[in-house]
Amino acid sequence: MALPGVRRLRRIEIRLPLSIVAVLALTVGAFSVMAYREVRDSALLAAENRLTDVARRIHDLLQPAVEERYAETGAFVDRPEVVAAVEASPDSSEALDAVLREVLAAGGQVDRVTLWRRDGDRVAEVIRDSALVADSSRFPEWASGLPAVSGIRASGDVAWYEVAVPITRGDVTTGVLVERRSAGSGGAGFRFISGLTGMNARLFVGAPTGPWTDLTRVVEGPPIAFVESGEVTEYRQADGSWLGAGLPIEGTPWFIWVDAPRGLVLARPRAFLERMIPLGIAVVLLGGLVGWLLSRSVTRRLSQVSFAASAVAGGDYGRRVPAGSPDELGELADAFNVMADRVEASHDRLERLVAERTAALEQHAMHLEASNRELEAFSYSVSHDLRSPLRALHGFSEGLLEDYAASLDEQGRDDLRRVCAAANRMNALIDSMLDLSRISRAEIALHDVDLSVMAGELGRELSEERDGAGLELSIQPGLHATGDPHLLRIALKNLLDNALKFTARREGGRIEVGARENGGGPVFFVRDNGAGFDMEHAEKLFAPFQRLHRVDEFQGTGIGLATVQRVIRRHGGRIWAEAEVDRGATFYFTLFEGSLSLEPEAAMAGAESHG
Amino acid sequence: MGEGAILLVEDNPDDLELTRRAFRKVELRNEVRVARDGQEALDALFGPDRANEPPALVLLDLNLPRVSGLEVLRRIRADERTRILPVVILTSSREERDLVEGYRLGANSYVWKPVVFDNFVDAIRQLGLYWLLLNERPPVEP
Repeated sequence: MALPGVRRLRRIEIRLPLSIVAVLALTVGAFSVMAYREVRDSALLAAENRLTDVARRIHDLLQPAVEERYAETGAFVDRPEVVAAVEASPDSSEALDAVLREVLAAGGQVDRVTLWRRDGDRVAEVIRDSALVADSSRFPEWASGLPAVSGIRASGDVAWYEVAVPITRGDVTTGVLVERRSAGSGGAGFRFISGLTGMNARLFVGAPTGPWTDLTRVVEGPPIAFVESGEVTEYRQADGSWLGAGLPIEGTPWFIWVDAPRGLVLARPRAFLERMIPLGIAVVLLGGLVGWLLSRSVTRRLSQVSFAASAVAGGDYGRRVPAGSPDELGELADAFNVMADRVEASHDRLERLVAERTAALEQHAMHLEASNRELEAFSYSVSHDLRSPLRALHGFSEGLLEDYAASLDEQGRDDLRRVCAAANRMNALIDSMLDLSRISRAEIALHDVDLSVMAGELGRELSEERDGAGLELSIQPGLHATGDPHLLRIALKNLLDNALKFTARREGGRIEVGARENGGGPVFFVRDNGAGFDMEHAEKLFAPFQRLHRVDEFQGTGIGLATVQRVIRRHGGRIWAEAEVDRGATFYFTLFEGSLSLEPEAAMAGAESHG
Repeated sequence: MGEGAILLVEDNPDDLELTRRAFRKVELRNEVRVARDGQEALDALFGPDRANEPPALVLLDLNLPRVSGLEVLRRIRADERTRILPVVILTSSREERDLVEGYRLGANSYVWKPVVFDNFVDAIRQLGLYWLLLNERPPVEP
C-alpha cells in the first residue's frame, strides 16, 4: 500500500502542476543555458574583435608618431653647423651648441641630444637639466644609413628610447644626430581608446625580451610568450583569465601588446544570466500556479462527482453535482446526474416494493404467529386433555384386570390387555408429537459436542432397554460437532434407536457410528446391517407418522426420524439415507451446511400436526 | 401414614377416582378433602365453611375450571395462613412454562401424572411417603 504522502502525489491535482513545473523548468533551464552560451560567445567574439581593433589603433597611432620624430629631428641634420661639425676636426663651437639646444627644445620629451661622427666619435652633446643620467650608446639601426629608433630602454621606472637621424653629404653618411626621448607621452591617448572600447585593457609597448612600458612608466611585460600574429590569445594568470593580442610596429624594434581580463568581458553575459535566473524561476512558478489552478478547477469538479457517487453509493440517493458547464466535465456531471436520477428512481421503486413486501410479510408473520399460538394451545391441550382420558382408559383397565380377572374369561382378559397396550402406544405417540413440536420451538444453544461419547452413552442405555445384547456397536472416536447438546442427543438417540430396532433380531447385528470428510465439512453417519428398506419409499422416511414396516414387525411411532430431521434442519444440515432390503441402512447427516436457524421455527407444517 | 388431611384439587372425575384408587392401593388412610375446581379449593382453604385444621398437603391440578391451578397456588402463597403449606402440583401437563411458573409461584414439587396406572400408583406412594411421613412439618401457629 502506498504511503499517504505518495498517494497524495499521485493525485492529478498535484501531478499536473508538478509536470508543468518540470517541463517549464527544463525548457527555461535549457533555454537559459543556450542563451547564456550564445551571449557569452558573442561577448567573447566582440571582445576579441575589440582587442585586435585596439591593438591596431595603437599601432596606427604609434607608427606616424615615429615618422614625426624622424621629421622633427631630420629638420636639423642639414644645418651647416651640424654638417660641418661632423666633417671637421673636433671642436666645440658656440654655433653648434645652439643648434643642438634648438633640437632639445623642439621635442617636449627630448632630454638629451648627441652628435656623432660616423666613426663613432662623439662630437657634441647637450642635456636638459632634469635629464636622466645614462650613457648613450650606439645601436644597431644606425648602420642602415636611414632614420631609426632604438628599442625601449629603462632607467628606474622611466622608459625611454632614442631616435637617430643620419647626416649625409651626397650619398655618404658622415654622422648621426641622436636624441633621447621619454616614452611616457602616449598613455593618455591609449587610455582614451581603451575607455572608448569599454574594456579595462592594458597596453604594453616594448620588445619580446623587454623592458616594457605602458607609455607612462616601466612595467612588467605580458606574462606569455609573445605572439605577434595579431590574433587573440587566451591565457591564465593568478588573477584569472586574460585575453591578449600583439602586433609589431614596422620600421621599429617595437611591439605592442593589448590585453583585457576575460572576467570583465564575461560580466555582461553573467549579468544577463543573473537576470535570466529570477525571470526563469518566476516563469516556472507562474506555470506551476496556473497548472495548479487549472488542475484544481478540474479535480474539484471531478471530486464533486466522486463525492456525489460515494454519497449515492452510501444511500444518499438525492445527491447531484452542479451541472451546466459546457466542457467535458460538464458532460460528465450531466451524465452522472442522469445516472443518479435513474438510480434514485429504481431505488425508490425498490423501496416501495420492499415496503409492500415487508407489509405483506409482516401480515404473513402475524398470521404465522397466530397459528403458532394456536399450535401451542393445541400442544398444551394435547398434553393435558388427551392424556387424562388415556390415563382413565389405562387405569380402569388395569383395575379390571387386577380386581375382576377371575370374572373374565381369557378372551376378556386379552381384550383388556390390548386396551392397555393401545393406551400405552397412544401415550408414546403423544409424547413423540410433543417432543417434535418442542424441538421446533426450542432455542438452540451452541456448544462443542463430542458425538462419539454421546453415542457411546446412548448405545449403552438403549441396548439395556431393548435387550440388545450380542450387538456390536462400533463408534469412531473423536467425532466433534458444534450444536445444541440436548437436541443432538435426541437426534442421535432416535437414529441409534432406529438402528437397534432393525438389527436386534439378527445374528451378528452391527451398528457403526462414524464420519467422512466431504469437502464442506464432516458427513456423520449411523449404519446398521439390519432389515433395511426399499429405497423406493425413501421419501416417506422423514415424514411424521409414516412407517415403512408393519407395527407387528417393528414397534414405533413413526415420529422418530421426523424428529431427527427437524433437529438436523435446525442445525442447518441435511439428512438422507441409503438402504437395501435385508442389507441394512445408513443414515447420513451434516451440520451447518446451509443457513443456521437459531430462532424457533415459525410454525410446523400444518399437515404434520393433523396427523 | 402420618396425621393431617390431603386437599386434592382435581376436576376430572376419572382422575379423581384413579387417584383415590391409588391412595387405597398404597394404603394411605389420611382424610382426603376434594375440591372440583379452583374456586372450591380456595373456599376449602379460606372460605367460611373451611375445616378447623388446615390440610397437611395440597395436591393441585393445573387445568381447572373457574380459577386456574396456578392462580390457586398464587393465592395460597399470598395468604399468611397458608404461606408455608406444602403444595405439590400433580398434573398431566409436561409444558415447561407450567413447570417454571409453578416453581416460581412457590410449589414444593411438580409431579407429572403417568399414564400407565402402575407408574401412577408408584408416584402417589412416593408423594405420600415423603410429604406425610418423612417430611417434618413446621409447628402450626395458633
